[in-house]
Amino acid sequence: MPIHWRSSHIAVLTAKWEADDERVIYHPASNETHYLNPLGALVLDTLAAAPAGITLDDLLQTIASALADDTIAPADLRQYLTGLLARFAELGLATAVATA
Amino acid sequence: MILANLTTADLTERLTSRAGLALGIGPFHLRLTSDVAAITPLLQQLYRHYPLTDQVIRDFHLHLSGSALHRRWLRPQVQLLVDGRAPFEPLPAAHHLPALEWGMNWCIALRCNHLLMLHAAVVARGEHAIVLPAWPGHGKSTLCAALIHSGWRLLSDEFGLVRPADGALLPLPRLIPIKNAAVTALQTFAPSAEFGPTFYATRKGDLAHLCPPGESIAQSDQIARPRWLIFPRWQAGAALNLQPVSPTQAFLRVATNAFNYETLGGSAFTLVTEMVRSCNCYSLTYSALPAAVAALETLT
Repeated sequence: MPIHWRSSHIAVLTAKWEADDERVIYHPASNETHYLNPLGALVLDTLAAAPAGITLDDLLQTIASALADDTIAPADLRQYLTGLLARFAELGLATAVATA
Repeated sequence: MILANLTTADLTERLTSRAGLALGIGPFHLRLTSDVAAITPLLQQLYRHYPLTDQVIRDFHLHLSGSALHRRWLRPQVQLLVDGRAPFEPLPAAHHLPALEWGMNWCIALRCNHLLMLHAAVVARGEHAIVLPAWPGHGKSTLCAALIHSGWRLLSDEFGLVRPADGALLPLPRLIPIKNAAVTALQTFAPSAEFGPTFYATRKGDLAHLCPPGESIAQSDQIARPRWLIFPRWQAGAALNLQPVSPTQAFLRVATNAFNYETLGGSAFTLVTEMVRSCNCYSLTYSALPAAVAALETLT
């Protein structure tokens, strides 16, 4: 069964500014504030835009397309995203769901 | 009525009576009693602008106590009691004023979680404020002192108080402790700056307290709004460097600098977000006060 990643749909508070692609979010359940670099913010936005969830392969394709940077090897990006999703899961920001 | 209206006899009588000396300091009301005679002339000099208050409910009850009889000749000490308890180790008797000031800091930091408390100096012109968050030793107090001798109103040197209801900055003008060589630098920059005596070899080095301007204390009920966030850093010999800071980085620097950000949770997050949104944000590295003040004048 493929694994789909979803945003946890928690009521996080978000602070973002124009011309600043970094972001800060507040997670009420943990009372923690998290800094997201531009790539982290992009991944979280991509998860939020896919309520039914998204596979790692599709996420990889979406992010690679958005970055449009040929110098990033797909294997490196996959490894980075895998670690990032695991970290999001630890923080309660994303959930992995097995789907039929 | 302000403390300066009291005669020495009146002040001594209040300090040694059960009723105590009731002072209004920013949004706080405190009651002070003391049997340390040496504190009286310092209060007359450095606290003379503060209003006496007839508030029945006081936020803090402080008692500055001298040594018991047998210790008056053997390493005499001073002890600060807060609401009748002694949360601090006694200090050398000569450090009576620092003990009082640090005790007040402790009271504010521990008990004022109805406000967001930034570790920041705040000065204002009209209702537009510069907020100066900084780590200890980064020259925040020295720069703040220079600004209040350059036409800015003192709201705070240590605690930037933010009201959760509307993000307004509440004035808390207090004595400004200036350490070591910064005293001389300030006396050169602002010869009219009024200092109390120097206390040598305190746990924070040699320090002297700058008397806050009477006008700032008289305007303690006038809030200000954050307009500039400046992150100062003093470095010996450094050239002046004023650089924009991104909003996200400004957020992180303000939040990690607050005393009670985590305690207030989502409310603090929203307040810091709004503060950053309403401010132009810069880092300022400086070594000379005139250049630093001139740079901020240009900016504002």
